[in-house]
Amino acid sequence: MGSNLFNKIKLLKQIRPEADFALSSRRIILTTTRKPHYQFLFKKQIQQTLILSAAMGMAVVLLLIVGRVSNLPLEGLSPNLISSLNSKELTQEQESINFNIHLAEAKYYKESTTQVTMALNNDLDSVAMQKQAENINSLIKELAL
Amino acid sequence: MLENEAHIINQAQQGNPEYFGLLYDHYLAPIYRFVFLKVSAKAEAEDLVHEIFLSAWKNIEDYDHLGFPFSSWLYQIARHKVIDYYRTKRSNLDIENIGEENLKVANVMDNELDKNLDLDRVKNAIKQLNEDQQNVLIMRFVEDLSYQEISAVLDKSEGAIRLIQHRAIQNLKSKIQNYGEQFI
Repeated sequence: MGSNLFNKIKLLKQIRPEADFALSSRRIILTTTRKPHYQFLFKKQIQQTLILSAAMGMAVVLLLIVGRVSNLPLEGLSPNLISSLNSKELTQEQESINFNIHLAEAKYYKESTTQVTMALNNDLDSVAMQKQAENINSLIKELAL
Repeated sequence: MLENEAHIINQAQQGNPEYFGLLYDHYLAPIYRFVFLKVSAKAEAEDLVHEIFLSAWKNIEDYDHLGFPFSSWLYQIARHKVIDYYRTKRSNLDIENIGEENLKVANVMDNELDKNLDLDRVKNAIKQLNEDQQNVLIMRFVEDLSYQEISAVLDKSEGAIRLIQHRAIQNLKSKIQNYGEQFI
């Protein structure tokens, strides 16, 4: 059915306009005045000028962008931003962080040792005082008896 | 496509009517078929075709090649003219409500075709498809346009055109079968 159907559709190609209509319509159309030719040329000229101007404008903008990027005043930017872009600075920053960490640890150990010693001394003193108090209490009890 | 078509179009764009006449002679029949199969009436088809070529002649300087043949541009004009026609004359001639009598409007070739009942059925079935399916079916199978050309005319992708074509064929088969009589 499929190929027969396509063959039938192809037969529709036999449809053609009448010769009288074709001739009269052609004559009317071709004698119809249309916009003068100079308008077409003027329009084409404007189109070409616009395209050329746009292309040149884009080229100038690209040149400006490329020129600006290569001559960017980096020193005028934020110091944080500059250091973040420099690998040497980054290494130094990393090293100083490590160093600071070591210093902080030393300080902690130093302070904590003193505090622990003081705390131990306090404990020993309190134990000794407690013993003395107990001795005094026992003496008082003996005297009282 | 005409030989030296770019040159002919350029000359027509510069206002030489004889060159536009060559374009008219070459493209009249396919544009007429396209319009006639969509409106069914000879007189209406002739009026529309005249308007299409008149519009093309008046605005030919707006045509840019852009890789598509001149026929794509003409089909675009034709398609819009047919849409306008149905917008303004829907009350008189609705494509969905056209009866058998309307399909047999006097036309020398049409009368010949009407002798063949099968062809009449095909024409009638095509008219029952939606607008896109009609366009694709006529341009693809009657006028042998490429998918690229049809996609340019209908402003759809080639994939979409293939899909519409597939649905159009399926719908056309079922419409023809629905007439009740064994077809072919």
